[in-house]
Amino acid sequence: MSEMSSLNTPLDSGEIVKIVPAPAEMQVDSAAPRKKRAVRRVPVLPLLLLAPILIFGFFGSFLMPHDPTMIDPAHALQPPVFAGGTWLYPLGTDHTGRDLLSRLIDGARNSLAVAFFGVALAGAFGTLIGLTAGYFRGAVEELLMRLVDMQLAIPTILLAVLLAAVIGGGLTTVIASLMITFWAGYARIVRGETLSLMQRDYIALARVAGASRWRIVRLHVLPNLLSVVVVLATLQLGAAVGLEAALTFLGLGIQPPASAWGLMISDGKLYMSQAWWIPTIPGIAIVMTVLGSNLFGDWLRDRLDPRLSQL
Amino acid sequence: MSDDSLLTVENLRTYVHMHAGTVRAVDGASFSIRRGEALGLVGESGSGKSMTCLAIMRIEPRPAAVIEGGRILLEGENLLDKSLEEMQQVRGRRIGMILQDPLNSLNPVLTIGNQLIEALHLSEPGASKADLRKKAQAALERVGITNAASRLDSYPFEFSGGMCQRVTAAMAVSRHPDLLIADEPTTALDVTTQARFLGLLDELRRENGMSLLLVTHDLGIVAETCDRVAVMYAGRVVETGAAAQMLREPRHPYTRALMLAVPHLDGPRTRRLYQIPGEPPSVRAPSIGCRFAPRCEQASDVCRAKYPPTVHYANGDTVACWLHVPDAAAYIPTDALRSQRLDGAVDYAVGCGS
Amino acid sequence: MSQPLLEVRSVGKTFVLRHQRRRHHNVVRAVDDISFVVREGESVGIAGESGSGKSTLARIILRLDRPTDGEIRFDGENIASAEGRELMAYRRRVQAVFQNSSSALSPRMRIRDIIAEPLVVQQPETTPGEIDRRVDDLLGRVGLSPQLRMSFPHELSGGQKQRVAIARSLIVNPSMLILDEPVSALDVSIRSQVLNLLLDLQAERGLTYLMIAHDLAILRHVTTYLVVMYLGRVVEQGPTEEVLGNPQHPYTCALVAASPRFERIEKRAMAVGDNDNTSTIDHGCPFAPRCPQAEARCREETPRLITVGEHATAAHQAACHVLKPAVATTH
Repeated sequence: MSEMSSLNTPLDSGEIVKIVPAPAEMQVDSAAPRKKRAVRRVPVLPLLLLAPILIFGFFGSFLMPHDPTMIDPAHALQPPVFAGGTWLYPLGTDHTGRDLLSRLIDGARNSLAVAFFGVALAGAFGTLIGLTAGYFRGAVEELLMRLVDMQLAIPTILLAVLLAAVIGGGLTTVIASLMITFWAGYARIVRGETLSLMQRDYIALARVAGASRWRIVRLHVLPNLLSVVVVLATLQLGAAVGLEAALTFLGLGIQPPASAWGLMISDGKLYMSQAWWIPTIPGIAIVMTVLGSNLFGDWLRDRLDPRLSQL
Repeated sequence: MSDDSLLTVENLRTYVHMHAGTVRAVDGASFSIRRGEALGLVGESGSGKSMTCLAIMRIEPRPAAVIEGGRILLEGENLLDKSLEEMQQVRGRRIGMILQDPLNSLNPVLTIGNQLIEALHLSEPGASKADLRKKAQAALERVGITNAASRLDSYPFEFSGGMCQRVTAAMAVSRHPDLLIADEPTTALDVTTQARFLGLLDELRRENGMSLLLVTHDLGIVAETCDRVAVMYAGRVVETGAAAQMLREPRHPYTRALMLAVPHLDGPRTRRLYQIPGEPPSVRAPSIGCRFAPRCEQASDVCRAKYPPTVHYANGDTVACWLHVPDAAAYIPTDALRSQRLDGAVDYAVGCGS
Repeated sequence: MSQPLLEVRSVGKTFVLRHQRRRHHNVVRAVDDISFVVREGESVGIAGESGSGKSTLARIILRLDRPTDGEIRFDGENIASAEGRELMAYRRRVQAVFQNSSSALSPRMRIRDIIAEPLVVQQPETTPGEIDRRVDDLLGRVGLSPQLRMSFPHELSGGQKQRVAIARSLIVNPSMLILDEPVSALDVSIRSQVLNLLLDLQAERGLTYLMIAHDLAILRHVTTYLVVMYLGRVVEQGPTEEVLGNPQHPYTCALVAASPRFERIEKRAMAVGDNDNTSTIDHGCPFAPRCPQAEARCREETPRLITVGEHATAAHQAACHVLKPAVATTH
């Protein structure tokens, strides 16, 4: 080894038989089709599905052509414009003459608000529980996780019915039901993520640097939990809307005369054969919301996956 | 081409098409392995050594990875011409493979015995279960696992990393392939376990007259285990030669730089290690000219202008470096001082005097 | 002789694994009766393979865990029981660099904040301007452009990330660095850059290093004193050149022989069995099951460290019954 003390390579190191020129460089066709599995920069489909709903939700008050609660028996059961109706009532009217489009928009605001609050509260509470369990371990973790298990064992609708029986129906009931239903899912996932995060070297190094527990949680654990929590939240938003519609349909949720998609369906179910649009159109709205938020959540999860960013 | 060459890789190109661009993982690699020989394929991460192995076995990660060109000749037949069904006859039977992570190579929910039997069953479809079990036991004993009979019913998690890797080796050689490809088989193992495992590979090779393609980043392993070495850099082979000779007197500046950059257990203790300047090469947009030139202390204008040809020596060694090309300047046609960039734009290289 | 900077005395760490079904609990002695000293300005290496307990030892020395037995003194102070301000004072003087640069840097923090964290935590009164100045200064010192200040870890290469880790460990001007496999996860051509950097920094700042690694060649290059561990116990220790050039303990011999060299030597003659056992030995030499020279005594009695070697300096010791102690020189 000591002979090779310098970098200079020995020239003339053997009998040369042939010299083969380097292969030609290969051009890379940058227009070649990209792989379909690539994460799109913009989630087109989910946004298309969600855009109308979100627009209705945020700008509803400016968009409603009519008062959603105004009864107008003279114009009851009008079909939507694409089924023989007029542009006055673009999506038709229900059995009392209320404009469906306006009710849809109004209902969107209510449903979205309820779903949003419910999921946010559930997320905050569930994250807190999961983080506490994962950070402190031991008896605390055991206790909290058993609570989670118990919670997950109770069927949602049953819980909502029970709750409604105790505190009556209405907005509060729905939000409370959402919160009680969804927090456990968060807690479980957050606990798992916390356990895994605590193993990372940067947590140990933060301790070596002298960081306090609270600082570690605030700056190192929470931000890395956020991506998981946000993805779960978007996935659950759709489920929340669905749940709210179900509860409202059963009469436990948003009460008339407020508008809600569930109410529109439950009112309209009697008119299915005469005026199919009354229950169907809100049903489609629910499907669009749930599907859109699920697809968005999928996209977001792929987007936030740190492994993909390294490719 | 010499007659005793078992596997010849010629100008292999494997590109990986990804969202952010195309990675030229293997970009014109050529080397050959003789019958019964142990060839070490050395390179750092990004050199293309693992992708080369996957391409030989035709298990490159489709659809992103595409073999864009070249030939892989196994005893004269081009493997790239074969259909995927035909390749199934090659895999396992003519070429075996061992991978890096022993825990991932074995199915955690099946017993060791079942997995061995599955491998054996492929070569002897008619044999009875009892027969296969006996053979599986013999295979375990062959690779040095004690209490083989009872170990057949163990699960992978009950084995240490070294034992798992030996089981994988047993499975890979169970059908007596002509060539065994081992992709960094000891990187995840302890040094003492590594030594034993490499010894085992050596024994298996000699017993079966098998060739070995050992992929590693560790020059020390290569020095001890391999007959010949091929060094890869930025998707191409820059040097091949006999192991002992090449590591004593490397021809290519990269090989030389590697040897100087690595701390040695023998010999005098140097105060500072040689530091290869610069960063590892970009696999998306390789530079014009020799790809090691940006980091090479002996690079000249011709190196930066054009990729060097491969010089073949009488004893079979090769090197791709302008320093070893007699009268290097004559290879640059005067009107081609202007060279094409790989993305189509035209670039003007500095001319070199003669 | 001046007081050593770090003194590890009979340190042990026992884990109890609870099995719900079985009655007895599995007791794992990850670290058992480890003693050595580190003097100021020295580089001490801990060599061992997986299961040797070297990482557990590092965690104990860094006060990420507490020892179950023994004492650890830093500059005379007992740090195993230190709390509050004492512990913070210790943290100011001892920092660490870990193996895996990818998991050592918080993925959602910018480089500047990562490097600054120890300073921000320990000296919160430091002005942002001063913090920036020191961060940039260190970035330059480790060979990185100050422009990387606002980048995220995933934008950096492995070598760059490890340099960031080193910069961070230096921002509070510690006296000692614990380096746990600092270059194992890096490419070969990058390792020499980082090793040279570590050696330069040591010379510049008079740092003391405690380096843990499994690669003997790297340890030989960086350290002056070597402690070889096996299954939680010290089997041999002494000046690095002596331990590696004249290994006494059968395990050290096996380790040295198994390490790849560039001269193709007929090694493997001393082939030892695989490290298959997963339980700890209560008594007797931990290496006995694999040792080609094991006698009956080796399985019964745990060997103690004795001075060995032909040119016996008091410092070269090994724990083995088979070896004969050197003629006692004056202590």
